[in-house]
Amino acid sequence: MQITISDGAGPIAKVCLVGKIDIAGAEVIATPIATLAGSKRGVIVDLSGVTLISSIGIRHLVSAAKTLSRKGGKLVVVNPNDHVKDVLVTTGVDDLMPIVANDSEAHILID
Amino acid sequence: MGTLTHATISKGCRFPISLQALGDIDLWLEAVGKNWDVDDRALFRARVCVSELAANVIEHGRVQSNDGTIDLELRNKLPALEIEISAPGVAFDPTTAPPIPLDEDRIGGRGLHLVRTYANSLLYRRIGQRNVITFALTPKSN
Repeated sequence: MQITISDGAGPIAKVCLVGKIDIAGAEVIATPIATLAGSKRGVIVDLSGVTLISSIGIRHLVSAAKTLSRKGGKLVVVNPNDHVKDVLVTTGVDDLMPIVANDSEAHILID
Repeated sequence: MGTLTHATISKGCRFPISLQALGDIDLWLEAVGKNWDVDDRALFRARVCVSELAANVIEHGRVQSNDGTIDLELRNKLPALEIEISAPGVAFDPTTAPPIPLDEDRIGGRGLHLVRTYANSLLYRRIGQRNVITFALTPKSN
């Protein structure tokens, strides 16, 4: 799992994840995602490069989404492939973490 | 002369009980599935189910690496893909374990829900000290 963070001075950060969010992948993303959720108003999580996602990975994303939601912010998921999107929808987390096609739509939801 | 209408090919592999093995399991499953030309969606869902069940062994099975192996068998039952996963650990029946509400952020809830949703048929057996779980995926399931 590779994680790339774009974190400027503004209130929104972007995280790009590539690879599998299995147990090992979840360990890679856990702290960075939690840290951003604590310090930002919005986090955009680009899942276009994610090839597999497990419940433990979802747990970390949901935790960050809840942290953001509590302070009026939002975590938005961008462009997962159809299979990954299906996992997110099946587990019902798309209410808390909206799924959109691109960064522009994500910004609209956060701003 | 009869016509062969059903063919079953199977492939099995054993993996150590370790976090590292979870990655190897997925790579093996993906490779076999692609070699058999399994439907993309069915293969992805199979990988998700196996990932969840194997992770459950490590997270909740109360087993050590020297307690045995996680055994996987794939059966190509055209057009279905059948998977059997067995491992040592505390008894855990995914067919009867009480569901955990998805909005509760507890370990195990979403994983079990995914397995129950994606697997066409889910069968559990307890054989000795091992949990044996068999399930199938078909291209048009769910």
